[in-house]
Amino acid sequence: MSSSLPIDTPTFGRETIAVRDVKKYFGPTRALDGASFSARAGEIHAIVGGNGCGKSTMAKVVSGILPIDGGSVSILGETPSTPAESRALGISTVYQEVLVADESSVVDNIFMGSDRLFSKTLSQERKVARARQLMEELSGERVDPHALVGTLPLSIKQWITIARALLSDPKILILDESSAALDFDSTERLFNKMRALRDGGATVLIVTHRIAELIRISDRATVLRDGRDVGVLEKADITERNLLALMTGQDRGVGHSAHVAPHPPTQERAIKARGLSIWPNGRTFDFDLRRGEIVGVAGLDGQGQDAFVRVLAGVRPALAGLVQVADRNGTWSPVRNLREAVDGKISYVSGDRKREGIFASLSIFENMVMPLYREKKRAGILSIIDFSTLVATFTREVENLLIKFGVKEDRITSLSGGNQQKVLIGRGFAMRPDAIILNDPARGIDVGAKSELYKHLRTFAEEGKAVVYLSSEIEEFLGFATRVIVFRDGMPFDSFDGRKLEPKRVLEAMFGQTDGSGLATSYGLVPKRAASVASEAGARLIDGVRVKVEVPPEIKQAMASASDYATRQVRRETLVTPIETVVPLAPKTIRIVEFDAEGRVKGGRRT
Amino acid sequence: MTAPQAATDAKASIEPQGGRSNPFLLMPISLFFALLAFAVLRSPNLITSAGIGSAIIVATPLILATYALMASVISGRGTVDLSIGPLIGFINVTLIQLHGAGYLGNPIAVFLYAMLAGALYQFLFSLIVIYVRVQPIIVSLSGYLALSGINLVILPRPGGMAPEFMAEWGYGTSIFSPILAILVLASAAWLLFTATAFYTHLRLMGSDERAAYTSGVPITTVRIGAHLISGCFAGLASICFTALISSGDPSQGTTYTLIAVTALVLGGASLAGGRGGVFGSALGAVNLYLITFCLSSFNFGAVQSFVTNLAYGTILVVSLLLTLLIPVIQRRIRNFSPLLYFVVLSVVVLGIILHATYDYAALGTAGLVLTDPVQMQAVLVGPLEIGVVDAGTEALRLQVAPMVFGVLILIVVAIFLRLAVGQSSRKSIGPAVTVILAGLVLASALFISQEAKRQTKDVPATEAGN
Amino acid sequence: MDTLPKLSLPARILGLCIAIVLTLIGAGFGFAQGASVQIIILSAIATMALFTWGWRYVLGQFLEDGQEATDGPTPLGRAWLAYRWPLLGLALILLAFIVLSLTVEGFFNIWNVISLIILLAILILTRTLGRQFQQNRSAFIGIMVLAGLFSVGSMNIEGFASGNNIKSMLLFASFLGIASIGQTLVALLGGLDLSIPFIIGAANVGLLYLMGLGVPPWLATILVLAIGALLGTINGLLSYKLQGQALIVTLGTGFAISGGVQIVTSIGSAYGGNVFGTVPAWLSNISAMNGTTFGLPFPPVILIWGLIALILILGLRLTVYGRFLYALGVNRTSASRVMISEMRYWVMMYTLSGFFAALTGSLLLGWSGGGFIGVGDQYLFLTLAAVVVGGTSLLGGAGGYGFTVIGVLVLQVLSSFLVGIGLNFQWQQFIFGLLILPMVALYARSPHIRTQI
Repeated sequence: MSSSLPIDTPTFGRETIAVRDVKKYFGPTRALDGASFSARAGEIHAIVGGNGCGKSTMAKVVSGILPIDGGSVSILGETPSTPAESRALGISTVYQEVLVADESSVVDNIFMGSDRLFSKTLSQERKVARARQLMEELSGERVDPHALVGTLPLSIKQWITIARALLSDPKILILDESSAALDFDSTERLFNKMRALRDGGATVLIVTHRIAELIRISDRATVLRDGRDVGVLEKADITERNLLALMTGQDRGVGHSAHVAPHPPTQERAIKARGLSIWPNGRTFDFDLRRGEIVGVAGLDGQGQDAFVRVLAGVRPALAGLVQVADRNGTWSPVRNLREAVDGKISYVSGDRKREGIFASLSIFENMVMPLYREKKRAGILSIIDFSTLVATFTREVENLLIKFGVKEDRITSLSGGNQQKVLIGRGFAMRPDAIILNDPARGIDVGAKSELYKHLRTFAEEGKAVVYLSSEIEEFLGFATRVIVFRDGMPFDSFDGRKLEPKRVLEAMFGQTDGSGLATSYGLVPKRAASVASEAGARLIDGVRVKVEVPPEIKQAMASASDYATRQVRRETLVTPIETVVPLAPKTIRIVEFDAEGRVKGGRRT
Repeated sequence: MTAPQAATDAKASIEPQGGRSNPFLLMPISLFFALLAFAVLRSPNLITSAGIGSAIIVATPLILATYALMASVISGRGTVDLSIGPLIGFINVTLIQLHGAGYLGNPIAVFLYAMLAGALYQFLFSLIVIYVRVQPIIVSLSGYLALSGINLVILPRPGGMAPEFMAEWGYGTSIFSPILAILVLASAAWLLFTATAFYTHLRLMGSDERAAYTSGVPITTVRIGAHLISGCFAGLASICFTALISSGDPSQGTTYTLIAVTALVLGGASLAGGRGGVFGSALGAVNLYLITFCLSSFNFGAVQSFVTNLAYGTILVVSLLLTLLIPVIQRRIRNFSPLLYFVVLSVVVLGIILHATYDYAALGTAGLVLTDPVQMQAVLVGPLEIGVVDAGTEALRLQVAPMVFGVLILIVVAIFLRLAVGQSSRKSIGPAVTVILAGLVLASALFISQEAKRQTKDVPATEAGN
Repeated sequence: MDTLPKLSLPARILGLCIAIVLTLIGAGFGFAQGASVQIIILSAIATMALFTWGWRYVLGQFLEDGQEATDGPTPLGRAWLAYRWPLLGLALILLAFIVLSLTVEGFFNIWNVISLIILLAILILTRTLGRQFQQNRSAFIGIMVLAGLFSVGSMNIEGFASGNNIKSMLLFASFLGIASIGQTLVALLGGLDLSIPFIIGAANVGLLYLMGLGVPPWLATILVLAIGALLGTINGLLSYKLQGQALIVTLGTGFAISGGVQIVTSIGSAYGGNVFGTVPAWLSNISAMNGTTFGLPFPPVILIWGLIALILILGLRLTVYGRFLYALGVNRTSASRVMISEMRYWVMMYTLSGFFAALTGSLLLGWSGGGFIGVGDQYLFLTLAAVVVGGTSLLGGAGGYGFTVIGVLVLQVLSSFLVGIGLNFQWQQFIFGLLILPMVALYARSPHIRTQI
């Protein structure tokens, strides 16, 4: 906490990073489209922007991983083209993903890349001592330097990547969303470290979309939007208002904020959840979804909102409690897995289209109507697909969503990202659901397509269907969501009325700055039970599923290390974790480090 | 907010985060001793100079092939080099043919040629993997087919003569043979290699290539290096193989590939990369040899090779399945010491070996041989012990019993100590325990053998085995 | 790429149609005049190639007027950049030909020169025409190679294009085709099945053994097929459990199966590993060269293969199962969101693989008349090569059985050709082994590590 006052930072003035008009394309997607910025020695420079604005791509370009398609990059007067070259220049990068070698020890992971090809730079004993000291200093816990990294929890793994970057006293430190897996105290420790580096004359480049952190730490900020830089803010100007104005641009709110958020005509419920718990040590809560309303779900990354919508859609099982869906006659049936969700006419649209959405080498048509194959088939056991009916469905959805494409037999990868996403949304609608659950569907879609989507969803809601809409951009809810629920620490924190929505208040709630009184109001979690607060920790419904699944060691340890009695109880009662994370022995080359399950759990492990 | 405080306190009082435990060696060690005990019971002359000598001769090519495979497997991307068998065969047949044509008379030239040929092939392999970016397993399959084909072209049927200086290598009459020297040197070379930074790079790359790349590890160089090392070991394996059969054999490829992969999996290496060790791999290969040995101690007659195939295939699949259990074990055992486990089991097996050696020698009967080609019943009820116990042995056992009992108690005490000390300060006392235990074992072994000698003065015809 | 004039789609289709019509007319004249089949095929290919190329070239001249050359390297340089690899390939082939002509006595004769010209023409044709087939380029290339090989073979080798040889090629192609069914299906999921050759051998021996025990042949066949399917199911379960190690697992089970079956068949027999017995006439008729189908002089196995191929191709394209199979191969997470059970398909495909391997083994028994455990050995690489040469991606989700059929035919003609010019089985294995690599490189390259972070 020595140098938390950033005012008297000497502006060394020397420009260390100069990026001019950089272009980077991924196929048809323009990740960077003529972005420029510069950073000086002795400053903490933030690169900030909404989702898909190209800030991560920028970090990769600066650290020499991605070759650029146009423009120029000059870092300390050079242009590194591989990570090894950047490292030699004194550039350290911590990437968004936690990149550690699970089969190796902590020491080896921290000193990864610091040795020459055959000889070591330090003796093993000194490495061990340094690793032990560094890890204790950073993570605040004692970590066995010889421990295999695979046995450690995610937050420690994150610290290992940070320790690796800090090891060589970098001249330039690039942090790409590196606090994702860290809790509040840890983030503060990281910030102190960053300030110390800055005061030593290094350039610290942080890439983030966490506005509050950014305001606290950065000296200057470059805002990116749609692959271009749209403004540079000096320390005094870095305020939430300015940032949001730049990040969202001129069209912010215009277009649909004039609309009035739909209000459900009935109190009839489409989905109800009782005693729900989504984190191992999270409190339980109830949730009701009425027909004809659009519920916005918000929260900082990794606060449980993602798990919540997945549980609602039956994609992952709840840790405790039960989700139920009503059919047209009002009979309730449980939703414990995907099949029951589909039977209950709930459809799910993921925003992570690459990973759990599209089928890359199949046609646009097939991508849209794939889930309907099962019902639209003829000839009994032969299961011949009834293409003529499906073409009608396809045409209808294409017209509704204004999808632009060449021939319907073209591969889906020939479409732009936004159109691909529309195809997936069309897939959700093609199943003619009663309730649709969208998990950040607007990721990487342009503004025009977004407003089309809102219009479509609003019409859908007016037909008496229910919508749950998770978004990482608060502005999306304006004039669109009936009510907004903000998640924090794996459970609902506050709730807002959609008709009187103020983005500022929502943002405050995301950072825990509100009192959470919204939960008990008429626009709270359970609209009917306006007076009663969400159920207490003790009053837990036991009628949920009891799925016995292997708990990954990280979670197990996290639970074991927590001294909270309630946690122990949870552990004894329900050992449930999403099955998708327990797939062992995935082929190495295409391994994807999973953030959702463990990441979210780790992020909030604070009790 | 006392909860975080409490958690921190709790954390400070318990041990630091993370476990070092590496339970992957659990299986190969257990299997090794189980097989060893069984093999010794079935046929005690395994533990004689000649027995061990021939075991080394036969097992060395397997071990070296496993090392060769291990080097490339550790490098990640699922580089299970299926072409390792045909590569060994290729070097073997070309060596024989070149020798037949009058080249390669000099041992140095032979070694140079074998290692260079292996390294060159693996170099090409790595270039294809790196620059053409085809899955390594496909490259290796392609190499497997091409090399098996060309091997048969070079030498259509087994034959030819190995260089003269190799002639007596393959006899296996004593423990100390040039083959043993190669094995020891190769193992030592690998151990030395593990001390270099290059090996650390290799493991890190194999475990997570993206992490290694972004940290500035020169992955291209490291990958090429791993393949070169693999090629050199393949060359050595081929020389030992040539010495073993003293001729050329183009058709051994399939078997060697299967054996090497099985041995590696048995030895606890991860086929996905990043994990593997010389100890485990050697144990894996020795285990396979012991399996063959045990199987051959039952005389299956004509179906012997089929039984071996069946055993190899089944063991490969079962050991792959067992790797699924490792995470479970890992959670149970936080600090598993392979060394201690090894020592404990070796004490037990030493007892069995002593029993087999002296008792059987006293009995003076040979191993049971099934005379019929195949007798399923004999296989099923095949006796674990051969011969019957006579009075002298009984007396000996009575005398030895307190010793064995004492050793067992010592082991229990040692484990208890180890756990207790490990819990208190986590300072490893493994080496100390090992030294003490080894001393005790040696002392008791000496004592027992003297007892036995004294005993056997009454019973004639001992020392035949040793 | 821009040096090649871009033709509009209608113009290209028109050109192709005219070429086909011209070729057909030429072929018709040829038959009418009683020319030999070889000459007709040769001239047909030449006509088609020349016309298509000319059409492109001439039309391209008109189109190019409208476009101004953009900045950058000189046209020659750009042409070099765009056609580096084909030009290098051409140069290599020419060089090889010259070297062969200079070294081998009697190599430089008229037939070889014509073969060379055909080879070059095919290379150019695949390069220029291949772009019009973005989706099914591998099939196109396969067909071109097939035509080229066949014409070169029929010119250079006595009796290559004779009815008997074609029949025998089709017969062997049927065995390979049926054996490759499983490999194709499994490859579509992203797995591999190396136990196919062992199951073939085991079925071959096992069937004869069962019949030798006195089991009625039809019952024995059904039993063997059922056991094959069962073994496939086991393979599927194991490979599913051990994700990403399907190859090693199936190799292990394969060895276990072949060892086990040999042990069983050897019990009580004095000849370890060899089974003797008589094969029923109907089984011989199905797969022997001199078999007849409804009185027609070709073995029924060809018909069986054709039917299975047709059902499979249509099934993969039109049924729910087929499409879900592709979906799983492309993206299993997406597929699980559409509620496609990965395990069920994985097990199903391996079961089919085991079944068809057992079928191949049984059919091969009819062909050879005696049981031999090693009969399937060559299918280890042949099935894989057929799948890969056809163009099915080993990463899953792309390709299909139609492609494999082309791959099987190419391999069979190539193998026949190699035998014809005097190369034995070992050389074939060597060449096929080397062939797999470039084919996989064409369809299934992994992305660069930079793009994976």
